[in-house]
Formats: sequence, C-alpha cells, structure tokens
Amino acid sequence: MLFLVKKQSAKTVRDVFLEQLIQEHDVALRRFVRVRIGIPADCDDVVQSVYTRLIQIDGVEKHLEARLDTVRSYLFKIAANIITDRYRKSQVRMETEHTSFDNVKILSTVMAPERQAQGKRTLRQIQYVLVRIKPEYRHAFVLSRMENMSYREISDTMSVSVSTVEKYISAALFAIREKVIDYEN
Amino acid sequence: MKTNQHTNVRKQAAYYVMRLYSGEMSAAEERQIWNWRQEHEVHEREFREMLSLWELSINLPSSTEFEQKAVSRLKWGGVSVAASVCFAVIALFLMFQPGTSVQEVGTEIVLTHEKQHDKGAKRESQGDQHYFTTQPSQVDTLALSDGSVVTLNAASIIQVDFSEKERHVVMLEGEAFFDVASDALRPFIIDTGDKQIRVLGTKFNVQKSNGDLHVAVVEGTVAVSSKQELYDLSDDAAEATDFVLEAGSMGSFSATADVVVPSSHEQVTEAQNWRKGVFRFNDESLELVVDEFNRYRSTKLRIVDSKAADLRISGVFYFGEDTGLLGALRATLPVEIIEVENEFHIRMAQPEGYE
Repeated sequence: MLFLVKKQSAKTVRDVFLEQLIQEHDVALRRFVRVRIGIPADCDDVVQSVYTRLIQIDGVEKHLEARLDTVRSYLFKIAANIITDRYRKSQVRMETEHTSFDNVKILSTVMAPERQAQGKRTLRQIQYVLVRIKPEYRHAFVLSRMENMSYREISDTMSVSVSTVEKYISAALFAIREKVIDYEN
Repeated sequence: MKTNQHTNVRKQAAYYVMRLYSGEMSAAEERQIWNWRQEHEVHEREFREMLSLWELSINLPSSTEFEQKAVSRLKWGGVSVAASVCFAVIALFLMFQPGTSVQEVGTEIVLTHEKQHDKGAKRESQGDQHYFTTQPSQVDTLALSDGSVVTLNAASIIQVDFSEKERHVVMLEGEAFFDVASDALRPFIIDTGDKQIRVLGTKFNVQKSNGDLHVAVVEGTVAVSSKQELYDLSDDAAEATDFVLEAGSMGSFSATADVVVPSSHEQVTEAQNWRKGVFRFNDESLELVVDEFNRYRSTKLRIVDSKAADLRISGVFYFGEDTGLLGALRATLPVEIIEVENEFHIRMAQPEGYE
C-alpha cells in the first residue's frame, strides 16, 4: 500500500517526481526494510513512514535530482533511521515496563549520553581498525559509508569490478567486527 | 575461543550486510539471507551486530574536505602510535598511495605531507601528542585531520594535539603558515609559549624567533593574548591584553613590547614568502638575510667581518639556488665568500694587493 499525500489540484512536479521515485525504488526499499528489521509484518509501516518523511523534506525533489544515483541509498538511510528510532523506543519501553511515566523520562535522558559514549568508543575502534587494514579495503568502505557512493560508483572510482568492491567492503566490515568484540555485548 | 566456523559465520554476516545495502539484492538473495539467519541463533546475532557496526560507521568523521584538497604528492611519515590512541580521520585514506604499508599509518592527526623540499617533516608521537619537525633544508605541508593545512618552515617544531573541545597546536620553534578550517565548536589555538593565538578559521603566518613573535594575517581575524592573563578569569583582564589582528595586519610581540601595525598587502604577503620558496628582501641587512637563508641551508653562511653585517640588500632570491645566491651576493656587494670546512665565510672584499 502506498501512502502519498496528494493535493486536490493537478499534480505538481514534485508529485510526479515522488511517484516516479516510488515506482522505481519501492521493491528494493521493501526488500531492504524486510531484511533490515527481520519482522516482515512491520514492513508496510516502516515504508510508509519513509515516504511520509520524504514528503516532509523541503525541496526534496531538487535535493535528490542532484544525486540520482544515490536516491536508493538515501531511502535506505531514512529507513534505517526510522527503524533505529523505533528500536530505541521499544527498548526504553521494555526497560521501564513497570515504572511510572516520570521514570521513563528520567531513564531515557540518563541512557542517552551513555549510549552516545558507547557509540563514540566504538567509532574510535572502527577508526583504529580502518587505519590498519589494506588501503583498498578502507578506501572502498569509506567511499561507501562516508561518501554514500554506490558500489558501481566505487568500482568506477577505484577501477576494479563491482564484485571486487563488494569483496573489499565486506572484508573491511569483517575486520571491524573482529576487533570490535564487545559492541553491545 | 574462536573457531574457524565462527570466523565463517562472521564473514557470511559481513557479506550479507554489505549486500543488503547494495540496493541490488534479488528476491532469491533475500530468501537466502532469511534462511541463513533462521538456521542458528548465532547467525541472527552476528547479522545484527554487523548491522549495528555498519550503520554506526556512517558517523565517522566526514571525508569530503580532504577530497577537495588536491594534495598532489602524498607522503605518509611517522611512527605507529599506541593502539589506544586514535583520532583518525578516515578520509585521508582516500588518498592513500597504493602499496603504503599499514605500519606506516600511525598518522591520525596529520593526513598528508605535501613534499616541497627534501623529505617530509619528521613525526614523533607521545600519547595524544604529535610532534612535527622540519630540518634546516625542509619545508613541509601538513594536512591536518580537521581540514586545516599547516606549512612548516625550515627548522621548525610544532606539537599537535586535537581533542573534541579544541584544536591545540604548540609552536615550539620556527615559523608556520596556518590555513585553518572553520569549526565554530572547536577553536584552533596556537600556543607560542607566552602568547596564545585563537582562531576560528583563517590564514595567517606565525614566526617565532629568539623570544619574539610575529603574526601576519592574510585572511580572517585572529586574537593574540598573553597567557598569564588567560588564567585571570575576569573578562576585563582578558580583553585588555587581547590583540585582535585583522586581515592585512601584522603583530610583533616581544618580552618588552607588543606592537600591532596595519600593514600593506605586500608586507603581509612577504611575511609568508618562504612558503613559495622565495625570499624577497627590501633593503635588509646582510646579517638578517644570512640568518634567513641559514634556516634553509645545511651548509651555513657566516659573516666573519662585522662590517659586512650591515651591508644592505634588496632583491628576490629563490630557494635552493645556492650558487645563485652566492653569485648575487658576490656581484652586488663588496664581499668575498670563501668555503671553509662546510661553511661559507663572508667578509668584506680586500682591496687588491692588500693582505
């Protein structure tokens, strides 16, 4: 089920753009969300939230038009954020199931910096690993995660095949995982 | 204990997460991943761990600013630092020369050295502090992890210590040109001993010699303050001793006097001529010229005749043109230059037939 707020009047450039975007990327987005959350039943809900959020972004069509090749990863990013938010909320709810509303507030403010600190520590560990792995692994990983480039774009940049890029990226991720052992325990 | 099997599970999880984010995952792959995750709880756990790391890594420091800097020749110097120390900015890795061995890459603060003369600046690290030293015949450009670029003049030493709150550079000796990347949340502070220079984003030159400090501002604004007063917390005290240097002005600070003068564009540009390997002297004493040149030379010039020290020189000289300089001195000044045990001695030319 698509969720798209349309004005009564004729379609704007923006409506057309968003419709095309959904037509082109909906299948991939749904597949991503299903695998990402591991609960197929929640998929529709998340995908709807992605589109809702997309519509709320001012000048989204201009923003995306400039980087058409990365629209898909942009959508994935929004979806991942939405999923993370939900996961976090449900965590807090679970942790505070038997406490009052006031306690929830205190707890969530107390939790946040601690989580942030954990995240920072882990980021440093990731950096530590990245400076020590093979340059081509790091290069591919950085282009993908930080430059938001598609594997295809990375393969052009590095002059290697897409499958080699995939090999590099998963090798980098594996190396990170091997070193960052105590993440979230 | 880690087994081969465990390693394989991790590799598989890393591969699947990478595929998940490719945007090209097929329906068959989706099923495959799904089945794999359900096969064993370890699979599911690894998959989630891998996802967390993957998604967290989007928060690594940005690399764009480094890409924009077209640093052509790269040289990674330095020694590996302790494992716990890591301020790495990943971007730089984009600029790695192929084949650079990982051991060379202890570099977290400085990303690149743009080689100008001889070898790059020598780097040493102690804990979070990184020292960069140039030899008398070296000028080196360092791209720092915050996007700032420091060009170190010959025979200079700086110490770089970046934290989340501030970017701290201690100027121990010599001269440096700073092109500071703007970061309102993390002031760039240069400690020169008894003075502190605070900036948010600007270009300026700092020269420290014999206890004197010369600051020339090319762009933006910098504040120079005496350090003693910094410990005085009252605002009045701090303000009273702050020298604010605007673009185009130069400040000279010494133990006895602080002088800030608005200068012409030429003068400010001149103050950082060394960056381009050019010396431009405008009616300067030979003594000063020789001092300046000696900073870049391993074979030193020495004035052995006090009368020669006061001779005046004007002109433009290029770095590294040894014979050019000596020839010019011989041609324009009434001096003799004699090579004595790895030094060039300069003295007033003797009238002919006189010994």
